[in-house]
Amino acid sequence: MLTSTVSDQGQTTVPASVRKALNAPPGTVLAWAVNGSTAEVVPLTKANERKRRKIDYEALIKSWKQSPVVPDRLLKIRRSKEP
Amino acid sequence: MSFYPDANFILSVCARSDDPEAAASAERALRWLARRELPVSVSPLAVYEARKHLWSLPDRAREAAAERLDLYLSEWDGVVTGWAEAIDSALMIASEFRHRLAVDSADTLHVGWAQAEQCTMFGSFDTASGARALAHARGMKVWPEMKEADFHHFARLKGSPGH
Repeated sequence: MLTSTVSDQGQTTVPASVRKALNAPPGTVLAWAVNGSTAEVVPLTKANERKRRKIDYEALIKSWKQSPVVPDRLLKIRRSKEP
Repeated sequence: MSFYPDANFILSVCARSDDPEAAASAERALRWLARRELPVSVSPLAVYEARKHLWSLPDRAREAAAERLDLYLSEWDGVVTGWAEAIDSALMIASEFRHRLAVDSADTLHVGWAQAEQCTMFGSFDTASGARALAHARGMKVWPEMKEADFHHFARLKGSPGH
């Protein structure tokens, strides 16, 4: 497994072989998806951006307006008072 | 630069309140989410609290709300900051404000998480908890905009006379 060290500023070097395998030239934006103690790193190419789901908010608002209403008190998270 | 929604914000855009004012605010939030330029950073704490709370809703409303939550999570980004770093950030906030904090542990953790994640906006409809004022005090823009109750909490945090 390839390794790289995180600097005091949180920076690290992506090994050349990984950059090549991911087709990630300088300037590539990397998306990090943390899952517990591991992370998936995905170069944000235009193709990958297109894979991201885009919500149709207009359709969502329309369905939201037709959805059953809920007593307002059930939608509030109540905290116990702390000093 | 991103937007951090707390669990109350998430719940409000998942299920529709029977209170016309609350429903109108939630619709405004949905329209804002539609045109926002910032990505949304959602924490496991917010998702956990929202999912847990959904179980208190009637079945039909819960199912529709849960579907909506899954839809949001398919678009929104999970935070990069982990629990340990978020807790450290919340404890830093507690050490800064000390007895003036009066914001409960979970709400302080939301603000700490947003700060550790370097979020620039904090979304919450809860003007009672003080979390919105705390986020404002930590330099984040609060959505919806600050209200009178928030400024009251903010004055307490700052230790203004009379608080």
